[in-house]
Amino acid sequence: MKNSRQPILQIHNVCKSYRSATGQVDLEILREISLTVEEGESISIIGPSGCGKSTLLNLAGKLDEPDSGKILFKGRDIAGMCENTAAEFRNRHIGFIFQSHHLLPQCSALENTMLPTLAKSGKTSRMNPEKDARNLLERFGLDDRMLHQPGSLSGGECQRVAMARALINHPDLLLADEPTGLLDRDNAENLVDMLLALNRVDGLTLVMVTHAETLARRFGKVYNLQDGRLTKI
Amino acid sequence: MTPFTLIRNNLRYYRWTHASVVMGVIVTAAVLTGALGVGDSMRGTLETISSQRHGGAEFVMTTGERMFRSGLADDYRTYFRESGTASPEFSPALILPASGFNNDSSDLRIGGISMLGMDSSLRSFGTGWSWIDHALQPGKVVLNENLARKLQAGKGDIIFFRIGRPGRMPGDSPLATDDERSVAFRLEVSDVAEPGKFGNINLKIGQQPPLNAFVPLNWLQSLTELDGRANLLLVNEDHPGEKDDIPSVIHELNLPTKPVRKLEDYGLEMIHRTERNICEIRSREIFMDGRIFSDFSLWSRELSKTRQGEPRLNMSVFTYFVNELRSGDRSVYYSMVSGLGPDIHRLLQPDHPQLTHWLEPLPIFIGEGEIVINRWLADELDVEPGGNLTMRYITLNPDNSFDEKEIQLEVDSVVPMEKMAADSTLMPPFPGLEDSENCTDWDPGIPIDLDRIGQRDEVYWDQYRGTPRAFISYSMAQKLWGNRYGSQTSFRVQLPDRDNNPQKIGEIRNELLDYLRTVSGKFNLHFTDLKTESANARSQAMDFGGLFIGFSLFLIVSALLLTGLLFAFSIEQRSCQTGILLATGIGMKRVRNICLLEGFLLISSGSVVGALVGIFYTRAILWGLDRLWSDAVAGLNIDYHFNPVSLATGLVLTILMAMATIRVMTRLIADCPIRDLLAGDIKTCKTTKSGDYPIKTVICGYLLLASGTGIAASGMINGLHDPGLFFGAGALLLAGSLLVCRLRLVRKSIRSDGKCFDPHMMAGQYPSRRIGRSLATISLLAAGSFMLVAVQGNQRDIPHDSRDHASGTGGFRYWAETSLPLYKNINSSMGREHYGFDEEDFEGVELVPIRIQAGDEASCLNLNRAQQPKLFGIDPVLLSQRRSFTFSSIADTSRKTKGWLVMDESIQNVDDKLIRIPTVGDVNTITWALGKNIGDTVYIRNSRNEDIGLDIVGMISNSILQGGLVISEANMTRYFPSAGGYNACLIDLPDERKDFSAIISRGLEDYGLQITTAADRLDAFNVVSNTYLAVFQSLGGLGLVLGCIGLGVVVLRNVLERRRELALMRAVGFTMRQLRTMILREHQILLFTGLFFGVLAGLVAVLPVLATSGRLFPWKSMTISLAAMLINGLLWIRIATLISMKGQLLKALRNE
Repeated sequence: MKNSRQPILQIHNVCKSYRSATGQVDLEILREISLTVEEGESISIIGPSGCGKSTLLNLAGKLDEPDSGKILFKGRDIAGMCENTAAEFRNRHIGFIFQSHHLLPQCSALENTMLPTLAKSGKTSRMNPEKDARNLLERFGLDDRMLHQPGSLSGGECQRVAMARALINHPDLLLADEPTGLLDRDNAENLVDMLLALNRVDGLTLVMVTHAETLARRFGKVYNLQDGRLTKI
Repeated sequence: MTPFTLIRNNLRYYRWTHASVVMGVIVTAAVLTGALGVGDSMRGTLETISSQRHGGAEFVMTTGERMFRSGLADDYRTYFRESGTASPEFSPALILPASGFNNDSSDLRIGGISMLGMDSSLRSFGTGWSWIDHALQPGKVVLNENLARKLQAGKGDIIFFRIGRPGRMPGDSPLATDDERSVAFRLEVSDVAEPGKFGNINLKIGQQPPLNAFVPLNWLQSLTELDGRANLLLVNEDHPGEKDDIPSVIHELNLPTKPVRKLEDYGLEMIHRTERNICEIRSREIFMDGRIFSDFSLWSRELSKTRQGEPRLNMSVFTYFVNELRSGDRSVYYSMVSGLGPDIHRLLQPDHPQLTHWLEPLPIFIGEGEIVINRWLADELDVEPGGNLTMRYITLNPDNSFDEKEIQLEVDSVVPMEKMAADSTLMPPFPGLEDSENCTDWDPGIPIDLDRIGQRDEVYWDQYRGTPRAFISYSMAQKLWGNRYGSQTSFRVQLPDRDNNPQKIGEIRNELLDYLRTVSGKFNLHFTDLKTESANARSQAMDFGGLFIGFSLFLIVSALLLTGLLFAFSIEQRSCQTGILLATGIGMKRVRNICLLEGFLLISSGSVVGALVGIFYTRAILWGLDRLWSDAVAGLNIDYHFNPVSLATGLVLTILMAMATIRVMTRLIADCPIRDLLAGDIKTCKTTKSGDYPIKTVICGYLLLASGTGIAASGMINGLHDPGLFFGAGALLLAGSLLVCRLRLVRKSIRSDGKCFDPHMMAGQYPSRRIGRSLATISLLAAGSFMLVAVQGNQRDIPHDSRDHASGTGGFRYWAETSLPLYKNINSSMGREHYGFDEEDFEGVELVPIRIQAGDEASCLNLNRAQQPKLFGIDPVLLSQRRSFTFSSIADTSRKTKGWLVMDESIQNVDDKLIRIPTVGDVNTITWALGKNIGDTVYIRNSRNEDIGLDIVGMISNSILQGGLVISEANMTRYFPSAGGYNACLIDLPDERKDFSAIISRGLEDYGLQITTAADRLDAFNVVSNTYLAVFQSLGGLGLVLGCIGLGVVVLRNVLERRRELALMRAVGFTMRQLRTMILREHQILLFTGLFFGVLAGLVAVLPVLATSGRLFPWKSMTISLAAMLINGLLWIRIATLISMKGQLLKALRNE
């Protein structure tokens, strides 16, 4: 368990806007957002649809670039990375869970879990990725579903496989973009329990965006994103 | 987990999608390797044919009408055996033109037969000749398969033949008599020789089987009074494996280190006139090339210097038969006059008196414009030295008509009838004169009035025979009477009195042979390397592999586009997965490599299968060429030849092309943000970026449109009718239209005009959301319809008005061709009378006689590249007056008005060794058969071994003159003396004279006349190119089917992608009918747009056809084809729409 409280992610005055389909109007999504995530923290972000929660997460996970502002990961500016470096960064440091599980239908749960090891830059790659994947799946109660393909898994199981995939390379930061959005209440609760257990037990830094305020309040810090501005609740 | 695990899983999971990709690759590979296989088969077949037509020979010497001793073969054999370098086999043969008919089965007379007299020496040329001993018997004939089929003859049948027999003098020579130049006889067929038995032996380059009849050599020689003579010498290298020997053999054959040939082989004879101790050299053909002997004089003189010997006295003689010698009112008709040319260099020598002695009583010099007459003539004309004398003589025009000319001469001296002045041997053995007992028996080959011959002439003939009555200078004689066969009738060498012995005579003979050996090419005694010539012809022949790749190009492109489209769908389908791979930190390069590797596995497996399927495709095409499109290969039966290199080439090319295609498709994901990929929204990647308005596309599109329009307009204004120009303009317009189309789609995709609430308007929206696939579909359909219009528009039909002089028939009704040459011009009264016609037979009939210099067929009927093209010699005035045919281009536009008369112009020549002749040809012959263009030169060699440059100064549009190049008759007779007589004729006649074809056929039956309508001849050429177009259309049609399948796939994909959107529309109240209509309309837009732009560009491509013969344009067939294409497209759209909208649409919403 990590006890230090060093900032792992620092977002300073980040702005992001999108151009409309007609190419004429800029939609300003994020306005000078700042956020600091310290190691071992669990943070949830809530806000109405289209407020920019996912955009913020994409920026934090280097899936997108801000228009302005600065994003530091462990004190290092992650702006201006080339495509390959960005991919390696994501592979080594970031774990993603999306609203939709995005599992590859042609691969088994075990293979889906091992998918990030294909990049061969993760921490697990030099050891035994299959063992790691089995351990993770066992931990998430999928020991008897490892060789099943996503088509034969339930929504909750799929999302747990997606969680295992996000953790296979032992990331420093787990970003979860409405992971419970497509789950029923019980499955949603279970998933959040697992996420928080990872935070508590393994000290994994966790940032989750969600609509569900009750789930959000179970996290260490809760932020509200509205009209492009982030406020702590 | 490795990339291979992922790829393996992908291949298994997306097997159906991948199967469709593999199918596309299979089609590409099959078409490509299949097309290359067609090329291999064609090459292999042509190679087999060329080895069969050589009859086992590697080198050949063919001398046409000029004969050599058949014993030359033995001499050569002995020579090589003695030299020990190589031991080739030699076989002499006599080849003569013939016609024949089988009275039992058909009255049809077959012309163009080669009657081959062969002997048993051919057995050593290959086992194919094994039949030669038992089948070749006197009175029997062996036919080759082709001739047997045409004559409908088999073993035991009796065939009537008429063979052309060379006369003593070439038929076109002045003073050539009307000898019986053909002989008829009947022969029993003893065997039929198949191609494998060398039945198709033929020295012309081409795949068309000849019409051969084989008889024993000595029998044919005896029948044609050509005992011991031959005009074909075949050589078979004894050690074919030792290829290094071959150059030395051909070199030794053409320039042996010591004389092998005898004077007879050069057509010469040496007579020793013992009484005057003169060696006289004469030609069997009477006229000899004076330059050869003047060069020999120089050569001999140089030789005498080196051996310190005594130079000899030489003299050139040109004796001619003149019509009249007149002084005042007194005339003497029909006399021999000799031009004497003693070697004037002798005057510089101290033995000058010897020359004076030799010529006595004639003077050494006779000046220009002067004449020396003998006492008999002086008495007859009552003229003395200083008096004037008029000499009238006949010359031969290029069309073999006669001109009587006269010249005023001053009498230099009168000589007594003694010594040289009484030498009757100065007259060459003119046929029709030499053996005549009396003057009244004369038949000199020119019109003479026997009434003008008096008793005194008879007395002179009895006493002095052909002793010349007058003498002029040799140079003047050459100017007055020189003709294409020569300017000399004998060459005399005066020997010193002490040298009157056989040994000295032998020395002169050897010296002359030594010299002739160095100029043997001028006597046509030149061996040709058949293998090299054939290899050149094949290597430059039409590449059927390339041709069928061209024909299949649209099919290949369609298959590739379909492959690309399906692969792109596969990538789009998995865009979300790509997003997750990227999001989890697998780099873009790695993701693309995984995609490419997956694609490579699909493509390589598809290519391997496709290459194997290609073997069947080749066989299918060969079947088509044998049955459906046999005209494209001139009826040739092509055997399948397998070449692993082509298979590998097709395989590799397919892999490369397909990999390039999918590489382009993988770029789709490269430019997409990960968030869009995760959203499964690959379509918005390129088009929604602000500022991406395709300005380059706009500029390029409008530039292409402007260029296409400009080129087409300028072409029309300037009256240019080059199909290539307009095809290019059409292609530019098509490319421009497609770019503008893309622009419209992009504009639509980025601008909302608020009209999408109308379902009809909505129909136009979706194509713009999927620009790539919409444009691919439009492009495919546009290219298909463009090809369809362009190809059908250029299809050649027989002109509706074939009597139009500007048409391809030249306005002529018939093309007539004879097996044996007509030495008299049938266009003249004399010629008609000679062939037994009445003047009224020709009333209203217009004829253009044609001389033909035999050569390779230079038309689409010959699949090899002609090396020595056939030549047509035509009087340009005759065609110019009629304004026959249409010139598509003339080298110098300032000469455009000259039309056919450009052939009469002289060409500035900078190379003394090259004779340049202005030449006109059919555009197809020049462009396709010879691979040349206007302004180019075709290099050939004539029978005198002179280098000829045929400068192409004009090209005529598609016409009946395909197959050869056209030069003026004057140039033909001047530079191609071996092209004796007329072999073809263009005939025009009014409708009421349709009986003429029967009259002329009957009159020229013995000459093997074959008459066809000009329209049929043109159609025979057109059918080849039309068949090519039909093949192109058929294979293009397959491509269009693939295009339409692609359209169906696009529809399916579009609808499946939008099922949720459509389900929503259904949920809010749209009926299924409305939705179907919407889907149909939005894809019909693609279909109509593609067809519209394709047809528009296609019509520009065929503008010249529309402009020149709009009413001949195949509107009907084109409309039917387009309608079929439209219906096919609509059908696929409908099928795909119905399939994709099958089932409960609303379920898609519930899945949401």
